[in-house]
Amino acid sequence: MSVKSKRESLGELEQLLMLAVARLGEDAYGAPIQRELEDSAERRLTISTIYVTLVRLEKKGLLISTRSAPTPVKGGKAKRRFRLTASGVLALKRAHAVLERMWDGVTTLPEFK
Amino acid sequence: MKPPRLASWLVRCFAPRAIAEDVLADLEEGLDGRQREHGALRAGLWYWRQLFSLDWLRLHQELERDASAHEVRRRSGWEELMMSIWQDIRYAVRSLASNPGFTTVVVLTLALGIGANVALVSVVRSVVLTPLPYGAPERVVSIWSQWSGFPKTWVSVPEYRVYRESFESFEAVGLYRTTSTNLTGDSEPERVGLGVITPNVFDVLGVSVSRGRGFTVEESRPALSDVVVVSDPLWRRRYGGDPELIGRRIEVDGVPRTVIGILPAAFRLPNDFTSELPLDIYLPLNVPDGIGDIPTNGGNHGSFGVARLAPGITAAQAQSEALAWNRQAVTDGFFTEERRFRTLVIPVDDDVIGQARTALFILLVAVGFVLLIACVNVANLVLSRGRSRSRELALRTALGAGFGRVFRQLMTESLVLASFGGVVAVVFAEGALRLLIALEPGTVPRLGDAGLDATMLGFTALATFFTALLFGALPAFAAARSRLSGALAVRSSGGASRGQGLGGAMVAFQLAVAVVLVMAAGLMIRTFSELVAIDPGFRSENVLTLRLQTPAKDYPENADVIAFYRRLLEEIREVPGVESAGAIRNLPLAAQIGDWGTRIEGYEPEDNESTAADWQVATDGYFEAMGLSLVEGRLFSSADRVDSEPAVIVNEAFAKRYWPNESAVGQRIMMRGADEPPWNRIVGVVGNVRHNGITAEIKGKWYRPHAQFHHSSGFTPAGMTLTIRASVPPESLAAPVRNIVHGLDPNLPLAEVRSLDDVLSGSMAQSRFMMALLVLFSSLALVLAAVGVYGVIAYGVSQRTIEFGVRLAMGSTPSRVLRMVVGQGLVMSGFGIVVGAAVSVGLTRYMESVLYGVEPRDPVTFVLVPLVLLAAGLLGCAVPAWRASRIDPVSALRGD
Repeated sequence: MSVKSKRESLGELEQLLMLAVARLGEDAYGAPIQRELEDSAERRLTISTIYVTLVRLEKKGLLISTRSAPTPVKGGKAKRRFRLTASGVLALKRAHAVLERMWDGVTTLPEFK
Repeated sequence: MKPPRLASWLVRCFAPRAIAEDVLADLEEGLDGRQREHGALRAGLWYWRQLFSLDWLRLHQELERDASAHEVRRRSGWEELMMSIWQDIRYAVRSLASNPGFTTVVVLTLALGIGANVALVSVVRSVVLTPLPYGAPERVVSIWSQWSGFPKTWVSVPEYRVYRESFESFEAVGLYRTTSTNLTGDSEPERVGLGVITPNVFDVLGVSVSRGRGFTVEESRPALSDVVVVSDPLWRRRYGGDPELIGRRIEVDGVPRTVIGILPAAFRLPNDFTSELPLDIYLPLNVPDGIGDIPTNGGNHGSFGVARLAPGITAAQAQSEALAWNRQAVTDGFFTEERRFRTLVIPVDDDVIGQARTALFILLVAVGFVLLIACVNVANLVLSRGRSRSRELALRTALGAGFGRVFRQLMTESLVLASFGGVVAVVFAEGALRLLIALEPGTVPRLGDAGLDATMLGFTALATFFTALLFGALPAFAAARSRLSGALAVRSSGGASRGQGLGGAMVAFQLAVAVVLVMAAGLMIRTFSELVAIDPGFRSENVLTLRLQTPAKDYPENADVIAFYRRLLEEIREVPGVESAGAIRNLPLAAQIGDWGTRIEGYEPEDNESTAADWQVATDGYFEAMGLSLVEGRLFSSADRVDSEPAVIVNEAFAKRYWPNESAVGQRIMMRGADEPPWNRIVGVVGNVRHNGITAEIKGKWYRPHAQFHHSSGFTPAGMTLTIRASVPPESLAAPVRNIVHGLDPNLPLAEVRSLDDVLSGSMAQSRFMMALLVLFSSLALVLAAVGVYGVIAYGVSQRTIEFGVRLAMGSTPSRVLRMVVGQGLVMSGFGIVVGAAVSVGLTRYMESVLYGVEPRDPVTFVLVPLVLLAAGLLGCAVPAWRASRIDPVSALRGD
């Protein structure tokens, strides 16, 4: 993967997913991420769509996943947990900065009713 | 909450092996959370929803591209295939969903075609393919008699004794009669069918009772016979399925009898499958051992014969033995040569379902044709859709999809379309079956058993699959073959001629098939109009009919029966709205009538000439109520009493035969049989009436007054049909008449309460039913064919827009363009119509047995039907032709 492509801007879905991972911290695995996107971002995505993006982000080096031991409750399953890498954090911050810069100076928006 | 098993199995199939467990764990957690919040149903739906995503495929690709990040096993060939089929299906669904008009038309067309076939096949299965409920039914035969004027009639007891004692072909022979009786005591009086059977009938049919036992030979001796076997439906209906019924006594026609057996649920005697009043009660019939004397012409013919063939003997062999005996019997003087007596031995399933089989076969071919036309239509639609997508397909080919890959994609689309059609077809078939069973007049045995079960659903799936092959293969092949160079390089004006030829051939084929169907419908319409035109001999409007039978126990003397009916009719005539009322032994078109040996005073029959005539017993008021025409003399009146001069009325056929040149009134005839029968004076001649069917031959007939009949015969008919002519709707009289009957005798049940109109229309019911279905199917075929013509011509016009534009610009007139397009449509249609007419010549002869008054190659039908089809074809090309003539040359040339 070239440096240039690492610089390419994050897609909206990628941003949302990385933010969900950031918000969830230790609990960032498939089901809560899907939930978080539904609740906070109002995006209803199927689990396969979420995994496609997670895998792509991991491939880009923006996320890293580890397989945890089964949770110590009855029927507890092993989980693939995701967390942000340093480049992931950087990419998010950059995306945020881009948005802030763009918003900066927008003092009025046309009113539509 | 447990995840849906099938869904999680599918997830395991779709998800890449490396992360399948993680995904399943996530889904399970998500399911639990949603179940707590929204309930199990929505959670389950959510789980299933997770399956339907193309991203499973992208997930595989994503993981493979990054082999270093995860341990990814290469997918097996099976997984590969699964995924790509799934992809095809998903793609097909999307592509069809994006074209809802096309999809709806195709799905509905297929559903109609498949549904009609499924419905009819399930009928054929129940009626024809399911063996009759007998042991080794292929060895069971019916025995009938035949003589001049009676193509198929009952057997006599003396004949039965000959068959039983001397025929080598038969292992056992049984005899039975059917009538009806009253069940009284325990609950409401009820009129039920009664079978009087020789004790061996159950054995002959290879049936054993489901509870209790059958009759012993001893029990058939009249003095000992107080036992009865009942049907399963009666046992359930009247006795609540009480297992203690065996050994209990029930009242049959007022006589207490002990129930000894209950028959299996499906059991019916061979002639009982379509009877209006199914047999519920069976009594034993005694026929003494030995052959005994055979009276001339065999004696009274009033029973049904049934036999089990000896092992290894066929029905044809038994028929040969019977013919040999028939000849011998003439030599021996038992039968007169002139009578041309024959014994008919008919395999029982031919006898029971033979007629329905022909009708069903015709209908099955008809729905098959409808499906064929539907398939061609759909194929045409799919073909033109394929053409409009040729660039998309060419692009796929360019990107590496081979012929097989594109073909499979298109076939998958067809299969998906057909599957939708199949699912809707099941709904259609269920509705069609219910409608069919409700509308069928009761002439098709075991129709009510038809239904959709697992086997029929399997058949539907199979039919759906083959339908998809039928309509999908050709267009898929045509589309997949079109190469990149062809489709991308050639603009929309070219490449049409080959497809056009294919479409034209399909349209011609459709029209040919439609011609055959419409011919069949046309012949049935002609048949039905012939039937309706027949004068039954009576006026059917505003007459109520119902049947009564006075039980022998309560009305032991002839005088009791006569008095009851006279009193009953007197009271009925008092009811407001009643114009006239009478009673008859045997209502025309409702029951079969036989003849009675008759002597005509002053008439010397030729050697062997039969002077027997159909016999009727009527009260005064009957002729008026039926609206029979009085040709000469007078009708019966209340003056024709027990003690007045024996009177008789004859029909025109009888009068013309014996007194062709003089008046029959005043002549005398005598009924044979009694010791010293009185001479009866003819007091009137009435018009002929159709009796044993609306198309049955009219025979000589006499009517004797109910009050006098026993002078000649020794008995008074206890079972009579009331006929009541009303000035009000006849159905409204049913309640007051019922009250009068029950006022006179609360134990007397009424049966067959219906209007004479219903009786008359019932006699044409089978033809009407056939006609209705064939008209329905052929209308469908006609519409589909017209749509087919439209589709092909419209496509042709759209492909030739530039050409027409040029023609119009060069000075051609719109009407010439119009003529050109119409002409092209007519050539296609005409070719199909000619072929269809030629095929019809060969096929309609199979309809001969269901036709009446019209030849299978009826010239009127053969001229009119092609014209109708031609009109449909014209209609189909009218709109596109008009559109072609209105093309604006400027925009046509600029547009491309």
